[in-house]
Amino acid sequence: MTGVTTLSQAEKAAPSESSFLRQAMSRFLANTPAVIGALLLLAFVAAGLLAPWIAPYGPNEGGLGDALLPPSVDHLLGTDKQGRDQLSLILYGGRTSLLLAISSVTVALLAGGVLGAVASAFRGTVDAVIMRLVDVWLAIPGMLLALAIVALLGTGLVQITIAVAVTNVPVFARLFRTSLAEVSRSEYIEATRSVGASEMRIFMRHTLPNAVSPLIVAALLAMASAVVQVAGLGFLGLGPADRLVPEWGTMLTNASSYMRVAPLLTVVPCAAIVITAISFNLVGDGLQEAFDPQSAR
Amino acid sequence: MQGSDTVQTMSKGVPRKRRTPLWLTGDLLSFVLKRVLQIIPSLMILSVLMFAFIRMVPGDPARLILGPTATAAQIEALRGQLGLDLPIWQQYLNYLANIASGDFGTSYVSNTPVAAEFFSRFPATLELSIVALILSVVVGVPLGRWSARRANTITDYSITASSVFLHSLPTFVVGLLLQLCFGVWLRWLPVDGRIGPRYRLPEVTNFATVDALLSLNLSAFGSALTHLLLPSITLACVSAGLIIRITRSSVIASRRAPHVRTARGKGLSRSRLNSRHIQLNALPPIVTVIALQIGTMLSGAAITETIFSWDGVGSWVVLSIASHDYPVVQSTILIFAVIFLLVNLVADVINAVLNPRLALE
Repeated sequence: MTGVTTLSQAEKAAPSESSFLRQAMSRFLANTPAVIGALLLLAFVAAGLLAPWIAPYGPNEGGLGDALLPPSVDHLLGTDKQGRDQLSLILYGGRTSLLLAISSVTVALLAGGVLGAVASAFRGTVDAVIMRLVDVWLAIPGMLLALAIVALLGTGLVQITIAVAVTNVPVFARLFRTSLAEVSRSEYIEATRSVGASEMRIFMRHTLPNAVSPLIVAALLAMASAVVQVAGLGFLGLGPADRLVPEWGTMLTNASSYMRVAPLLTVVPCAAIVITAISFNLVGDGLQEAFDPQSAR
Repeated sequence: MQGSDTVQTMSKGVPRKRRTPLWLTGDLLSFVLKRVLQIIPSLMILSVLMFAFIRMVPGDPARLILGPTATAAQIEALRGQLGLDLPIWQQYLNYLANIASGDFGTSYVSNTPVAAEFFSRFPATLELSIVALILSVVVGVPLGRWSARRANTITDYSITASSVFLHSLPTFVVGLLLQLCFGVWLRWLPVDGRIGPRYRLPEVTNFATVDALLSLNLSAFGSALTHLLLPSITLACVSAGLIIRITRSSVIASRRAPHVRTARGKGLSRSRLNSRHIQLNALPPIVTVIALQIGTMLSGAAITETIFSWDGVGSWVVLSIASHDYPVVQSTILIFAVIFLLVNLVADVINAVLNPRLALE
C-alpha cells in the first residue's frame, strides 16, 4: 500500500458501468410486458424496412374498380376507397409514421438536452430565463402548437418532424436539468472530485452517463406520444404533403365516411397506431424499472 | 412539530394542541403572492412568442385581410390603420395594449373580431372539458386508490395494465371507435352536434345542458346529455389513464413514508391512519396531475370536436388552420396557455393548503 489511490483505481472501486448495464438488461428481460413491447416494436420496424419485399402490393397500386373491397385472399385487410390494398398501406405507412416519430423525438431530445445542460451549467439568470421559457412552452397545448407550426411551415416530412419535436423540447429540457442537478449533488461525484478528477472528466465519465438514463426512458415515452401526434396531424388532414406517401393517420382521414360499409378502414390503422404507442410505453416503463428498480415497487 | 402532533393525538387524556390554520399565519398569502408574481414573466414571454408567431406568418396581413382584389392604395391605408408601418417594438406594445383591452385582432376569413367569436364558442368547449374532467377524476382516482390498496395483486396488475392502455389510446382512435360502436352499429347514441336538430335553445349561457334546464325543457336537456356522452368519454380516456397511474404511485409512496410507519407502530387505527396520514399526503401529486389535464383537454378538444362536429373552439381552430386564419389560431393558443397557467396556479395554492410544508419550502 502506497497510500496513494490513483484515479483509475478509485473509479474501479465503484460498481462498474458494464455491470450496471448488465443488471439493468437482466431486469428488463425479466419484465414480460416490456419484452412483448420490444418484440412488437421490432416487428413493426422490420415490417416497415422490409415493406417493398413483404407487402403484397405497392402503396399506390389499385384502381377504382377495386375500391372498398371486403377482406379476401387477394386483399387480406380489404381495400380503401381508391382500391389500394389496406395491408400494404399499413406496412408502407408504418415507415412514415415510425420515421417521423423517431426523428422528431431525436431532434427534441438533442435540443431539449442542450437547453437543459445550458440551464444547469450557467445557473443564475440564464437558468431562470430558460426555465421560465420552458414553463410557458409547456403551458401551450401540444396538439395546438404542432397544428400551428404545421400551418405556418407546411406539411413536408421535415416540417412535421419540427412541429412534433417542438412540442417535446421543454419536457426534455426540464428533465435533463433536474437529473444533472441531482447527479452532480451525489456523493460519488464529490468523491471523484476529491481524488482529483478534472471537471471535464467528471462530467463526461460520471455525471453525463448517470444523468442520461431518465432521458432515455422519457424519449421512449415521448415516442409513444409522437406516434399519436403524427397520426393526429395526419387525421386532421395535415399529414405528409405528398399524397403518395402513405401514413397511418392520413389513412383515417376519410375513414369515418365509410364506417358503415368498410369499418376495417377505421379499425386497422387505429390498431396499428395503438399497438405501436402501447409498445413504446411498455418498453419505456420497462427501461425505467430496469434503470431504477426503486421506482417500480 | 409533526411528531409532537402525532403523539398528542395518540394519548387520549392530553388535549390536542391545534395547529394554527395556514391561512391565518400569513404564509399562504405570501405564497400566493409569490406565485402570482411568478406568473407575470411567464405571461410576458408568452406574449412575445405569440407576437413573434403572427410576425412569422408568410404574407402581408393587410393583403390577407383585404383579399386578392384589393388595390395597392387600399392595402397601404389598411397597413397604416393596423400600425404595420410602425417600428417593431411599437407594434409589440400596441399588441399588448390591444390584448389588455380585449381586442384579439380580426379574423382574416369572417372579418369579425376574434374575441367575440371565441367567447361565443368557448362555452361548448368548456362544457365538454368539464364533463370529461369530472369523468376522468371520478373513474381515475378511485381506481388508482384501489390499485394501490391491492398493490402487486391481480387486481392491481389489471388496473395498471388498463391505465397504460387508456393512456396510450389516441383521442381520435377512441372517438372513431366509439362512433363506430355506439353510433353506427348499436345506434344508441348520437355522434355529431351538441343537441338534436329539432331543439332551439335560448342562448343564455351557451352551455347546451344549462340552457336546456333554464328553459325547463327536459327533453332538450336529455338530448344535450346524450350528445355530450361520447365526446366527453373520448376526451376523458387519456387523462383517466394518467390519473390512475399517478394516484396509485402517490398513495403507495405516501404509505411507505417514515411517519406513516411510526404512526402505525404506535397503534393508530387503520381508518385514521388511512384518512389522516396516507390519503391526505398522497393528494398533492394527484391535484397537480388533474390540473395538468386541463392542457390535455384543451389540446384534445381540437380532435374530439372535429370528430363529433362539436361547435367549439377546437373545431374552429382546425378550420382556421385550413383557411390560414392566423389571428384565430394565435389568439386561441394564447388564451388556452393563459388558462393553463392560471389553473396550475390554483392547483399550487390548493396543494399549499393541503400540505403547508409545500408553501414554506
